[in-house]
Amino acid sequence: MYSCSDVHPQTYRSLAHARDFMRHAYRRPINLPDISAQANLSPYHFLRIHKLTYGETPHEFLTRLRIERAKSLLAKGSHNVTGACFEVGFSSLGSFSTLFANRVGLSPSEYRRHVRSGIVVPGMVRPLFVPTCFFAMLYGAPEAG
Amino acid sequence: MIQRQSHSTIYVIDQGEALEFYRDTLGFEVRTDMPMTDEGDLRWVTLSPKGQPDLEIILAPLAPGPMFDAETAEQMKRLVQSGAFGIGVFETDDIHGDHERLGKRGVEFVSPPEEKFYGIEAIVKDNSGNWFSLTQHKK
Repeated sequence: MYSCSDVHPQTYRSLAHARDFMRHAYRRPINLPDISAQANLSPYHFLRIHKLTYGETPHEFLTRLRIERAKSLLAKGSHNVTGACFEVGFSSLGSFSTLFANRVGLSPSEYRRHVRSGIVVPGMVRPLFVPTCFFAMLYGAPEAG
Repeated sequence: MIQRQSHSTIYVIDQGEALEFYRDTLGFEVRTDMPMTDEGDLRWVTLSPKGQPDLEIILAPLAPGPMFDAETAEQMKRLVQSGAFGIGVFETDDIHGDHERLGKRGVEFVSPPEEKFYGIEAIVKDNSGNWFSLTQHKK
């Protein structure tokens, strides 16, 4: 493997383990000490090395995971905005809505409406399109609606 | 009349891990992410580079279905992992920066950036075993 990394392989593995922890635990209210403990690093050191390696803070990564999951739940139609907010691990509807709108370009309720109606909002949300015949060729008929 | 290609497919070993590679490590944007089963274990996941929002690259996990059975799916997994599949070429505006950044993130370069008459080209592997060209064109 070619690498010009100055991150020690063991550190990289610890970081990857902590990121994996975030991927599985994001629904709960986890904090930086919880996450950095998974990497066996002090919170400050973990935050610095994570940012250096991945170009984002652990919190930015966690927020991204949660917002993506929220989009998925809202698009599927199984959750309303409040439900999606708490299901993905946010503890405040206000901060969820603000973060969501900043990153997605629409408020959670606008996104849920538009993505399910198939109406294109120019420059922001494309209509949700799953070529179900293509999917069915690969995996058989989909179960979910 | 066919106007353009809207989707392309990459066969991957694990959909979640491949999503992280293309989204988090390479920095692609997710275009669609829809659960296709109630358990959410199989999703319809597409992404593309930031500058190409009208393209959707499908991350297709290798699983039995109408076109291939379990044995064939396992064969294909082995083929993917062995590097049998080249999936295409990606253009970059900063190949040396990418080489450094991606190297720090543990990405495997089959060959490092090399000067060619058309620009600079490297060969990179994804985390399933697929390889692709990363090319920076001469201005």
